[in-house]
Amino acid sequence: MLGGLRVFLPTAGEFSRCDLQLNEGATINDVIAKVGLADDRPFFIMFDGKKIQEEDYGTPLKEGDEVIMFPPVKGG
Amino acid sequence: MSWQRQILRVNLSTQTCAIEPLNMEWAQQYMGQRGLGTKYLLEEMDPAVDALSPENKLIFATGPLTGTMASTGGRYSVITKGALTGAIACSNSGGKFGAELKFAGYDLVIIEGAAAKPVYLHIENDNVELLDASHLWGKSVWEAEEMIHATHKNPQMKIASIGQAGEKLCRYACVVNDSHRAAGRSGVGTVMGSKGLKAIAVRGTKGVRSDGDMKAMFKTVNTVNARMNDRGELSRDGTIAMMDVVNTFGAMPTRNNREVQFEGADKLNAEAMQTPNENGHTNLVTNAACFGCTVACGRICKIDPTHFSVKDKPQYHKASGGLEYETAYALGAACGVDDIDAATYAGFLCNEYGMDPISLGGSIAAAMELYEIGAITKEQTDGVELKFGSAEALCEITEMVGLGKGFGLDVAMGSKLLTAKYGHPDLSMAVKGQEFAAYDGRGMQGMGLAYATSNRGACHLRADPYSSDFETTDTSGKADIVRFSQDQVASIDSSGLCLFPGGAGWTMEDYCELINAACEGDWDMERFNQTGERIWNIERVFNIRAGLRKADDTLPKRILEEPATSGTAEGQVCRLDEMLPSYYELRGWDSEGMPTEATMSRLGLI
Ligand code: SF4
Repeated sequence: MLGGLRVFLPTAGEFSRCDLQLNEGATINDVIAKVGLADDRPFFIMFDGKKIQEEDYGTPLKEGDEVIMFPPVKGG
Repeated sequence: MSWQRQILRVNLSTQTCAIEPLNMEWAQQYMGQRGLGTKYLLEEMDPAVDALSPENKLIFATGPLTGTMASTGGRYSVITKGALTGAIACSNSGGKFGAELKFAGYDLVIIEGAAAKPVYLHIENDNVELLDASHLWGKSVWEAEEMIHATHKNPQMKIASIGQAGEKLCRYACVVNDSHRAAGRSGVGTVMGSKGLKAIAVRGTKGVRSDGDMKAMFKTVNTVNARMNDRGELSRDGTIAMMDVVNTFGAMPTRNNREVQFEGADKLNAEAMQTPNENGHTNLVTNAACFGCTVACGRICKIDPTHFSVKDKPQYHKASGGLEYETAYALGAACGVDDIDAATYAGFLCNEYGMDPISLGGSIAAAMELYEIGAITKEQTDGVELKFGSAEALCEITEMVGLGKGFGLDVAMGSKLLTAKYGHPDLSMAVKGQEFAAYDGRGMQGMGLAYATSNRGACHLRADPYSSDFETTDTSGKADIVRFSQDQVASIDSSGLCLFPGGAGWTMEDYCELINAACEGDWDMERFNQTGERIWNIERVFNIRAGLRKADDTLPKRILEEPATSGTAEGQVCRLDEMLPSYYELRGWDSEGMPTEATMSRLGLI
């Protein structure tokens, strides 16, 4: 979970990533539910090296998959 | 509140200073800072003159909210014809200098002519004098600040100065205030150097005027500030938090934009900055705030004292302004360097010598590519092995540019002139001569359009296409997002407030509410947007009179023709041709990018 989203990480210690145990057949939507992002928090998702659209959040995951979430950031 | 209603005019050729009333009609139309400074510039000088001639003017401008209790209300801008670009230049800085200038009683300081011998401007409220700066010439920003403080013995005095880079006319020299905040881009420090003006030292005790409704102002400030205070992200991680996001997404300009993802990003990111290295040294010391700011995004950092760059140089072992996201990109990814200490050192030198790290990094990256393709040799680089990824080369060249030595003088011309000199103009990753910021226009299509159309050359702070760009690389609708946000940003830049709270909870309505509370008259969103549009158009008019045309609203061939090699936009180029015509149309400009008569008259410009 990149940028400001790292405050939502479920485990303390790691800077911006964590391992999640999910049920067989779990999807990206389940990841979103599990990390408990605040409702008003906009975010984007990268999966398999690409930014994906909301309609793809039902994609089933397999062991070892990485889901990257990041907030809309600007400036610099 | 709002305006002090006074400007200070300083003629360096005749060595005279005069206090004049502010044109309040213009203040109502252009607000302050960027807008008002540009209006004065356009009215008072011929934009076609050489940027380094005495005929160019240099304006230091505060905004109506500068020096007020509004959060981030400490900004000032330096407006001139840019030495790097030949276009309108307006560079914005924080720190404490801007508020002090306002407290001395001035909305604007207009510098004209050129001094026969180096001088600095000393302001203490109404007492204004030009003093000899011969002893300061050749000194760095840090040395000059110390020496001026030693002379005047007033610790409250705030100083904005140029370093050796500005004196030696490095094309991207900046004006540095409060040791490590800078009006960085477009060569505003070069213009100051060409005028023989070393510094402005100011002490003001007048405060801001209180002729408005103070109670209402207090109330608005409190409610608007509260809307931001619950987001501590920028203060905790700083702007460098962007590194992971942009890199993962695939819009990180890497090795002179040959690639869009940098494998060494995790050595330069917020985590690297906050995690002890193998010697137990942590780069980040603390965060810092500009005047009156409740965000405090600034990074104060220390270089590992055992690092090769500073091993025998104890003067660099203290904490100073560290890597922001743009600096980390330019002195890191752009050059393929993943050494956080080397990048921090090069960043320190940028503050010390007074150089824009973005253009420096972009110019070094271009030089590295020229070296790698054999267009320049080791003899020409004075023996520097100028390879991508070399932290040693980065540090060496930065020193040479800052001090104007040897091959450093070539890199100090900026990537446009450098690559032209060595026969490969296509390798300059710049627009209107100004190097890219930390976003690649292939991964972020709207940013590509924003770079191409930015009046001051490639810039990430002239529009707000970020959310749309992270959402999709589809170009539809981007022209309108870029146009609309350019106007809103122009208004914020003219207010005295900082753009960054836009990423920390503030909406445009929040900015507008603050402006409305501080300024006379009704400032609703419609006026806020239209003021921005008016400012954008007078900048355009300045550029047209300076000789810029549609051909200058473009991107380097690499971004338009070489597809991104990885990331979200893998296989895509920037499709500027899909966006530019509708951008012109939405702006009310003709197909050549000239504002039409109807547009000029709608905005009250003819
Ligand atoms: S948000 Fe950062 S740059 Fe802006 S005023 Fe605050 S500390 Fe300065």
